[in-house]
Amino acid sequence: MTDAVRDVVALGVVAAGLLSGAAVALVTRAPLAGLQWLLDFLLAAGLLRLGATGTPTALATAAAIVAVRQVAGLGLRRARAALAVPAPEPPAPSP
Amino acid sequence: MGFLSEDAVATFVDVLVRLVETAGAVIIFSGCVIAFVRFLVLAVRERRVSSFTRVRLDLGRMLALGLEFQLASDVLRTAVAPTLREIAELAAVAAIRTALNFFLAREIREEREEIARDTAERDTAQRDTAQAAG
Repeated sequence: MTDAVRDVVALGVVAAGLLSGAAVALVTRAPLAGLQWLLDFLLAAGLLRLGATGTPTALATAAAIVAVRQVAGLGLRRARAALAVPAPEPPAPSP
Repeated sequence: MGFLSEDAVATFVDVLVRLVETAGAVIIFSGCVIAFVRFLVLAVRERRVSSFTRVRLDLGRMLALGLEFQLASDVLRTAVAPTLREIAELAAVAAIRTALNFFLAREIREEREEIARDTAERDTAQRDTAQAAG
């Protein structure tokens, strides 16, 4: 697979991710689900680009994209966990 | 033993590396296409978040499988990496892919646990409703 083909395929994956991520957010009315969907597709595109035998700059760029995706994914999971757990009740007043 | 010369081995390993790496890329791309098609079906039929999470889980599995292939190609490449610079680049890519594989596996495990929890909660709720009705 040449680098040019790989780039086009990666671009197609990004486009599909943007489209379906927005649609998931709209259809389920859960923006976090849409964002996670988009991030998975961005990760796939990053992995495809990472395979290219490019310059160290290209490698660093692909790695940075993947790192951003990981950090954003971690943040989303934490946010979802925080939203899922009800806030602790205030302590009862002592007699 | 001309067929075992350094050039011949390097050429053979290069072909293998390209084959394995292309297989990894094809697996990742196929995973995306399958996920997109399933997304289209789900967007029309059912609109539950848990359904989309299942598709994401399967996509994650495909990504992990593709990553394994790419890691295998890295390992193959170490057989012929003559310069220190090439070895350093290879090490960087392999490190990134290994770390990614680790995080992806962890994410898949968490998503699977979440789906199992959701399913158990839904089953319990359905059972309670049935008992209350009966």
